[in-house]
Amino acid sequence: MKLNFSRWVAALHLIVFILVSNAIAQEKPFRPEAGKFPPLEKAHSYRGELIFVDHANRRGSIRVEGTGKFYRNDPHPFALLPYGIVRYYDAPADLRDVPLGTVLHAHGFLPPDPKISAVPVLPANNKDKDAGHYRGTGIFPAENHVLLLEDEPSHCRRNGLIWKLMEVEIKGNEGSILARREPQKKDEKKYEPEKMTFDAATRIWRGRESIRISDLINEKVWPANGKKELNDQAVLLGITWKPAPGDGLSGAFTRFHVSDIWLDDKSIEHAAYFQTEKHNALIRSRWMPARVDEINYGKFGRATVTATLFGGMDSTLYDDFKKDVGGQINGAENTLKHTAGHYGPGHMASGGKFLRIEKTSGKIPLGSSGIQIQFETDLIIEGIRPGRIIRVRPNSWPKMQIPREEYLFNNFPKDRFPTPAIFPKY
Amino acid sequence: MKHTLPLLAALLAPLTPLFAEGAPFRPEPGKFPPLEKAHSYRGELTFVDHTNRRGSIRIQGNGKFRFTGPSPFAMLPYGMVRYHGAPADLRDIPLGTVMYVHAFLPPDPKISSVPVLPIDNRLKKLGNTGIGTAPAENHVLLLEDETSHCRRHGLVWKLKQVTLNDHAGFITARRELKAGGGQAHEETLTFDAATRFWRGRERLDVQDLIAEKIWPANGKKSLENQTVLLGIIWKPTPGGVFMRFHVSDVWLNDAAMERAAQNQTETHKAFIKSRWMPGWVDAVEYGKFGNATVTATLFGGMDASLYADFKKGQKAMLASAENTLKHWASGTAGTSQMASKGILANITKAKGNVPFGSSGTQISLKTDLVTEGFRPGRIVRIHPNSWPIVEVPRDEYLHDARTTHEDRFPTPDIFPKY
Repeated sequence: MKLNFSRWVAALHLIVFILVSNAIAQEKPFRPEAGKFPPLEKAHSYRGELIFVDHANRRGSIRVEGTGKFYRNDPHPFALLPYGIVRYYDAPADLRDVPLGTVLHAHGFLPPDPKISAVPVLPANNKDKDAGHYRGTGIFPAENHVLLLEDEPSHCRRNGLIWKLMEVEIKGNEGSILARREPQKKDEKKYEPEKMTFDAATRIWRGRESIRISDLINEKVWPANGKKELNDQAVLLGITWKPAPGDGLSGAFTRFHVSDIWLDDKSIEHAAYFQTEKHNALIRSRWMPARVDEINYGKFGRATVTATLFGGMDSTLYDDFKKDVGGQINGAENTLKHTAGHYGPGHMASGGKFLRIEKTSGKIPLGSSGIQIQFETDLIIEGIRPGRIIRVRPNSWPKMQIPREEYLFNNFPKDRFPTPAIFPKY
Repeated sequence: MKHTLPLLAALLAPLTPLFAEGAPFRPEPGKFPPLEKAHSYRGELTFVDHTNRRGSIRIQGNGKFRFTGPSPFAMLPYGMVRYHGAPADLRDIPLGTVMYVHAFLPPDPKISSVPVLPIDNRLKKLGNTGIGTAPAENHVLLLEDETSHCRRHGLVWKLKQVTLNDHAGFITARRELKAGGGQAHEETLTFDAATRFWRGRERLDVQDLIAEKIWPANGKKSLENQTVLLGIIWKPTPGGVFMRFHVSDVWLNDAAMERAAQNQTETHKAFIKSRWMPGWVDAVEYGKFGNATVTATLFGGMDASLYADFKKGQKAMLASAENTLKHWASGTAGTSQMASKGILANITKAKGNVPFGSSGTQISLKTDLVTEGFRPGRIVRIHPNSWPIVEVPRDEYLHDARTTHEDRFPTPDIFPKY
């Protein structure tokens, strides 16, 4: 009997252990791994207002939309993953291109390596906690290492969404718009409308024209005062946040603001064109970021470097990488800063030739371009190791010097691994 | 010995301009410093901490621009920002914009939110960056972009020649008085496919100009002194050029520029209506049981319609603020709940020359709740009753129960050392 009881206890312990270990295995939070692009589906998604930008270190702060009063939410620090992508006006962008106040959709992960996080490391379950002071839950997610950061038109175009304008209410060049965001391809679902403010500074884009509310009133498209049905007019919206009446003790907790309305495809494509060209010039001067996959060492400092170019750029930039073309490769950091010294990356980088350019077929994870280069150099250096970040340039790109804050010099640990100390605590 | 005096004189010579008129000039509490006494420079906006009204600029010196580390600056409480010829906040200025700066030594170095530097710093050669790239005059009275600078001084750009290759190239242009005369300044600037051309309410790109045969597809063309306004930024330039600025925008006519200015004005008007008009207290006349009449001067540089909203006999609210113009608020109580209410007893407008930073408008508010923050020389924010009541975001107010010394007096630690 005693033996049987012991057996039962042992079996019970085993069952409990298996159940707990399964639960732990299932609940083990996902973190991006070195050398792999994390799947977008595993990211935690949220949106909020861009408040602060430290573009040289590819980080900033967002006031994250939660369940409470938006204006009370403290700016929440985030860092872009080295392969993290920014999109503005449905075009590739750098953090410096996005105006403060823009509402962005973020897709973030837990810090891949908390020890070197450039932003505060938070408890993994932070997104589920009520932050108190009427702020609600979801405003301080620990998933602050961002794979994709995109503004409203970029988010809509990527997901095939459109805004349908239902009604405008106007008084003295300002007022509110009732609109709903829904798929361009009709489905059976019902989409809830959202009320947003606009004012005399709201820009309206029609073809290559930039017009304003008063122009719409003059053209009798909108009334000077009162309400008007807009009959589900399909547009794209630029969304920002500014305090709206009623944000306080009563009224709307969170109400976003329309900064731009694109009335037709031509107008948003025109905006995307300017942003694309701006970003192309940036990448040509700062070089294409990539991650080293493999090194085959030769003799006397020679080596063949295989690397994957990061994604999200304009296709013309990738087209510039051609077999047998000369180029340069330089060590970089997680912030994508060059390791250069005062001589500049063009002087410090390893020269060589592209031996092979290979495009992956099939599904390419976000963050990767799906393009792998093989580069032969006679000056293999310490910064070029599997898993490390590099920047690469084909010789067809102009050779330029980059500004002081965008390269490392003297290599203090805080330059290589920026600390989160820059972010104020509220 | 006979060489000692000349040697001493040679060593001191560079410093004499700083001391020519006695002790170095610093703005004094309760007085708007004259613009003429400011040290002026220009550079690229590289960093913004808009909630503390400070940032960094890469200043144009006489050396290699790209070596120059961003130089921190702080706006004086009455400091003005102008963008597209209109009032602006720091948050409105895109990073990369080239700005003109008119600045002073820190009024009180002990509470400077940016590094305090030796007063002769603007005369020092800082390696390859040259001279003038890190002046001690980093407390800014006026920060303005190229269009604002030109419009304030009655200047225009005259386009001389364009050299074009694959939608990018160079423009040679001359900045001079619109009315003619005076000294002209000629400069070669880059442009590219991202440069925007504004014509009335149209936004064009280089390809549009080529399609309309206004510019050639390739090669050079004389532009016959076409009058425009330019938006100027900086980006790295190929070749051995130390410093060459870049054209981000070209306003081809007045209508286009007016539209840009109008848009920025409306942006700023909505901003000030939600954050309230800043000013400083000139005098407080104390009555009984917390009653007082507070006289304050409204800060300058706003759109005239905002000042026109202050009317005698109207209800208004007065809130204490900090040098960063941050409001005070409490736990569940917002800025309007914490502010003192009253009636605008008087509005006076100064005649004659109004100094930069001041609006020349003085208000008197009778309130029955005079608080510690209303003292002569202190910063306040004022809200006339006709403006909407909204809540300001968390980063733009000090929390009475949780505010630390560092919130009131931000330290310069945020700025990296290069």
